[in-house]
Amino acid sequence: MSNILDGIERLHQALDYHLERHNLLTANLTHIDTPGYKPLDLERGAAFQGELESAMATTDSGHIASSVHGPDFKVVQDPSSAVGMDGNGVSIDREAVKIAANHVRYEALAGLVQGSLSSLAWAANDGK
Amino acid sequence: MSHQFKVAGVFSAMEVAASGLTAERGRMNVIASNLANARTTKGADGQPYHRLDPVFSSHSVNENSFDPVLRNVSEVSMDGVKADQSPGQLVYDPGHPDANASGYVEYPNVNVVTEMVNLMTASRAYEAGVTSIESIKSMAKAALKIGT
Amino acid sequence: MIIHGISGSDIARVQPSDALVETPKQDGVGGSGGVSFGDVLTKTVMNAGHDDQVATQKVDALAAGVSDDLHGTMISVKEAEISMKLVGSIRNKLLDAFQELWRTSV
Repeated sequence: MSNILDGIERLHQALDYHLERHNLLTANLTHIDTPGYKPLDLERGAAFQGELESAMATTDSGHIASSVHGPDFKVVQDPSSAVGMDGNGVSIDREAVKIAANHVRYEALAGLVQGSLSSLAWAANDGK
Repeated sequence: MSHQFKVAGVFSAMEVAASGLTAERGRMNVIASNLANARTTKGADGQPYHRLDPVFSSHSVNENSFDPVLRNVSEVSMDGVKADQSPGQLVYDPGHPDANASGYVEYPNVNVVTEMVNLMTASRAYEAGVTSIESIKSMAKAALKIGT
Repeated sequence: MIIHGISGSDIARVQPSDALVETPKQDGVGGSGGVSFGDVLTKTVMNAGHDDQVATQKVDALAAGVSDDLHGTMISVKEAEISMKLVGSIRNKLLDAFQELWRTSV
């Protein structure tokens, strides 16, 4: 049975993803001088894509709704990084931009979760 | 401190950023020492000053965590300094107290311009670390607002 | 974060609307066939209790410093609050209905 809170669960996982990614990006930034360090990034796996597709597909109550999967994140080496003389591939600007973008996305998602929960609370409180 | 069930969160990100700030401050100290001794022709060992380079290494925050992100996130630390043994500039100055037998004085191998560039790079990296902490603080505030 | 304790706080589970619409088919209140309203109500209350437990666990973990999961805790707390409000609203509606019946002169 499709669950009202499934949408929130998806947002919850997106919040998890951005928070964990912030950890990796911050680690990249601190390793700007560590020889041989390659920047890491977090990738969302196939489960999230499938989740998105099925979320869009279940427009009819007769369709089978997907159950919410556990998070499917994968730590990967940033393939687009240019390696310098000491084997270090961190670019301070790239990482700073990624952190800023990640931050904005996280706050947007947090706002969405807050909004969704507030409207559910309103409904549960008999419209008061 | 390390807990197997911890996942990457707000505080782990702050700790990692803080390790970066400490490392950059260490680097700035080393650069300050190089700049201060740019003209020191005789150290404690009787030799001219040799410029120092900081040595950084990374340590995993929690290699036993079940969270792959936390296993891959690593802090940085400054393990020490390494002396740059390249020769310094020889200047002919027979009247100098540290002049050698042929009248030459060896000055330290410190290049002030290079050191200033390194100082600016360290300063930028420090600022970026501060920005990252500001960012995670703001994210934590947004998370707390969910409960209101 | 990774541990999503709840599948619950499932407001959709309340779904009494379907059950209620079908009540004419059943004989009397809480009829023998289909889902009885009482069962649904019990489930909702139990659910709210479960959500509250999950939220309390997460808050305890946060307070003890074992967990860093700010948004997960906040979401659970809010979900528990929603479940509780839902139970409260249903209780109020039932009470109103009961009083309405009580005052009805036969």
